[in-house]
Amino acid sequence: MNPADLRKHIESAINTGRVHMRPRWHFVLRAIIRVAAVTLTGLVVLFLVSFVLFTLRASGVGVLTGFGWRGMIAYVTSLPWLIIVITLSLLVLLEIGIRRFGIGYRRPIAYTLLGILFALAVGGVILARTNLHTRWDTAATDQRLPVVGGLYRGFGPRAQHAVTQGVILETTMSGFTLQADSGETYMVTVEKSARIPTPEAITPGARVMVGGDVKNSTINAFGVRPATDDWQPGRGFRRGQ
Amino acid sequence: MDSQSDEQLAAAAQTGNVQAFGELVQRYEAAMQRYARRFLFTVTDTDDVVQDIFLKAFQNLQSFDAHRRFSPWLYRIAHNHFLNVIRKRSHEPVPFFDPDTLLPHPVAPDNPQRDQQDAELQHAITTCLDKLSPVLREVVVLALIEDLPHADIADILHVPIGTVDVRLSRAKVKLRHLCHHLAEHL
Repeated sequence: MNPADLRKHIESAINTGRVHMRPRWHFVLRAIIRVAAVTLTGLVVLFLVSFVLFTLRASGVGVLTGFGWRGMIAYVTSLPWLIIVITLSLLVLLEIGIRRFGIGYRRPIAYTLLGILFALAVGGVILARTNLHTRWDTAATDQRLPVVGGLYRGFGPRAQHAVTQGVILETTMSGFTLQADSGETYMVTVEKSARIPTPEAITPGARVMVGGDVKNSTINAFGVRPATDDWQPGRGFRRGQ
Repeated sequence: MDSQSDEQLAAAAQTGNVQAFGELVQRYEAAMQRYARRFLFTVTDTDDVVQDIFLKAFQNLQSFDAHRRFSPWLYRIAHNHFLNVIRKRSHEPVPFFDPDTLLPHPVAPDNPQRDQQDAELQHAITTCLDKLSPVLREVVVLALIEDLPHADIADILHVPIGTVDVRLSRAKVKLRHLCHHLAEHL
């Protein structure tokens, strides 16, 4: 086909109405939807990152890392993996979405991804430190939080059972009786290899965090530490007798 | 109408001036045919493919920003259409993810004159272009045949400019290698 023929053919298709020009609002609307979708995905990922950080902090599972290799395994298995996988999937979608815009595709993926991760890390830490999650967690427990209430009840700090926090009621030959914050009472058996603070810390009335396998009303503890905020991971505990 | 720029014609066409769009068709028909023939080497009816590009361009003309350049916008439409044609008809693998877009690469300055004076490379393009993968073949067509600036190619392909340079450099090496290999077997 020579250029004149093609031109005539195209002009004829337009003039006879076989092809129509889409209106400008169609493209404006599409652009708005794209920007809104990327923004919404970004906000959801930010919320989920801060939720995971809040859950890890509020549930106290971080102390498990100080309880040896069993503590490390318990820590890894207690992570909210479903939420983490969903967050990572949304992160990939967010990256794909951003690459549809000039600000995204003109830069290597490594740069845009690092930028997103940095923004999420900073935003997630800030959001996790506000009282938003604490309030929503309480509201979810009281069945007063629609939509995301199930997220807090299913994956929030109260859904983590790797660490039990409470007050020692009395000591026994093999451990102690614990009045947990949840109201339940547990018989705690401290294993010989358990990591515990000084034996004096295990006295009636002391607030402790116990890492161990919970079965019915008993806990086989592989680690105990005082429930104080000045504990630093890596300082270590004296091994039990 | 001859004195008007592409962008002025596109702006006129956006208001319903069919003649202005016809002029754009006439201006870009040869370039689109070259692009189609070199990139879609297995497709014989490139006339229909090129016609589809202009019809799509007309349908989407209101998405064109007349303050920007018309040429990369039209090439972008052609690129998307060609990839669809390759996927549907020739079944050549077109990867969804290109590892070259992952990390930054140094940007090499455009030097089309040097490539045009390189007889061996020109011979390799003529004889072995069809043996390259679509990803490498397209960058050769746009950079070495259509002579587009690398920044425009980056906007057409939606990749970083460093990725264009890496693909082009890789394509040149592969073309020379393919050509030597072909010569040895003749």
